[in-house]
Amino acid sequence: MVTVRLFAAAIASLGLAWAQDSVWQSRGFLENRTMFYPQEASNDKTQWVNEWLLRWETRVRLGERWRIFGGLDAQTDTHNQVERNWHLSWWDREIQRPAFNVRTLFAQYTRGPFRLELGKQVIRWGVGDVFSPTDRVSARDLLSPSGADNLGVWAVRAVADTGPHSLELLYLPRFTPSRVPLVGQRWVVLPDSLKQYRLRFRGVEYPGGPQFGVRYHGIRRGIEYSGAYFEGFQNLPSLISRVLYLQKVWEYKAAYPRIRVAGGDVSAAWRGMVWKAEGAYSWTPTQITDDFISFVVQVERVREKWQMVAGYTGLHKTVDRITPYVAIDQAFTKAFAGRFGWAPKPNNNFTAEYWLQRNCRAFIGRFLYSREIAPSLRFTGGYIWITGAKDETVGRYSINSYATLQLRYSF
Amino acid sequence: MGAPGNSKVMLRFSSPAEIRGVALLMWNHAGRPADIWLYTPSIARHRRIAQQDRSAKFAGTDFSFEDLEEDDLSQYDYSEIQDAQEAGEACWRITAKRKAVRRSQYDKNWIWISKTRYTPLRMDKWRDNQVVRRVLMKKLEQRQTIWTPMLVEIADMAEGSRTTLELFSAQYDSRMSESSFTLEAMKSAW
Repeated sequence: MVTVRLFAAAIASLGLAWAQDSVWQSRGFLENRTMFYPQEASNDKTQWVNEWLLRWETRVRLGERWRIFGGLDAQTDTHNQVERNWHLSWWDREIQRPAFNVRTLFAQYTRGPFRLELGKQVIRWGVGDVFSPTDRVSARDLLSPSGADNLGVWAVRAVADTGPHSLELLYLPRFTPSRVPLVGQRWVVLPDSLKQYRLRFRGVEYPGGPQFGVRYHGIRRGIEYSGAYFEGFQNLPSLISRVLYLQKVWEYKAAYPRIRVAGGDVSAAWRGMVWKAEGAYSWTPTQITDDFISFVVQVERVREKWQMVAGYTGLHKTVDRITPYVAIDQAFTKAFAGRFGWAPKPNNNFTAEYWLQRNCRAFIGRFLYSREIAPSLRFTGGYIWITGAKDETVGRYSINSYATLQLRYSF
Repeated sequence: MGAPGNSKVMLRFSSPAEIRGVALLMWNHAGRPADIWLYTPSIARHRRIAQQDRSAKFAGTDFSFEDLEEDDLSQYDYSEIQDAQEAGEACWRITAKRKAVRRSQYDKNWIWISKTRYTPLRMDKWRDNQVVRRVLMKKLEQRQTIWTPMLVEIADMAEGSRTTLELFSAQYDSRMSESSFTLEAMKSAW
């Protein structure tokens, strides 16, 4: 009786809140991030980098069925990773981060279990935390490790969700690429074989044509599962290059090959832990990227003040093509990865994340402490340690270990 | 929404600003643990909460996930009805001992029921012969003839901390749509 009454009260209050859903809501934050690299890179002498980001998101309700969602970013930095002009970016195709950017802007129509969303939005698929092979729809900002945000993509998204079953259909009329590290900065480490050449960038070849996706998601007796298919473009660039030996020039241009990805995921709570598995097969009709199977298995457990996530990410190339591409998605596979979190008090916590290559020849550790130092003001500080053999992809970034300080005011 | 034993709940945060948009969805089931998901807008993902995770504190409050679940009343043996006083009111104190069917962080509850209003005023939640959480129901008001605590205080006895849940409005039997309690609905629940 006790619990029922309490419960009923909570439900009842929620019901009224829903009915009185306010017409306009907003949220956002202002963030300052400082990174200090103890070592200079051969191609980048900068050791202090400061970034400022203002993000504002809003939601407007228009009647019972329509809502408009929008989000704007304004940012700048000390390291030319952000453009220095004042234009407002709608398409997110800039090589640097735009100073002013429409991050999301979409209309949502809801009728019973049906939902239609039109506009720029962040779309996430999959369940993996350490790696998500089916999460190929939204591009990411991988320009520097501080970002790693998903970028909004222009899409029509139709969903029928009854609770135990949901079906999602996607149509993306225009391609949005992931943002990758800038040549000339420390997160681009070129192979030794290229060091004798001057680099000449011949531009970007953006693909035309739409992208499509479909995903079914089901829940049955505590087990969640999904199947997904995506036909679109790889959002990380492949580099089409040629060497001009006499001029000692390596010319390259970036292209985004068409890919098809079929995969699925399953997650279930069992023996006090949440078990997740996700896998996908990615293949291409072009000659400028690889065909591969990637997967992740992970387990997570949360107790009163601590949480643990541990997993393994795997990769098997079925067709290995020679064309180089910025294979950030493959670089972090064949590895053990996870996270330990400990929150001794509600407003402060420690996090340790690890990534260990399967052959133990490369390691990334991320150690962070976060604390709310005043209402709405959070401090986060820590150290990211990268180490490994120089002939390993990740090991080449050993000189990029860095300390980070972040101050965020939420409003 | 839904019937006791098979209800659905969605909680959404509008404040503080840092967690605005975070949402919790629960599907309760008779005889087995609830399905619980937490949606975090910063990563645009929902995360399933495991059965054992239910003892973890919810969003920095003194409520654990389990405290927010609907309790299946058939999972208890009731005994030891005693006369007691709570907040100046005459009460019955009932012991509700958990059957070992469904795992919980608590082994038993003591519940103080008002003799005049037939509604609970206090609940002590026990584990290993110690009270670990105390729930006080205050500011009782009649809403649609149902006594409703407009202020619920929960204390973590080991930590010495407490959280107050204040209801600004309460309404029973309101029409709600099933589609407002789905994973998809969590994403725009702000």
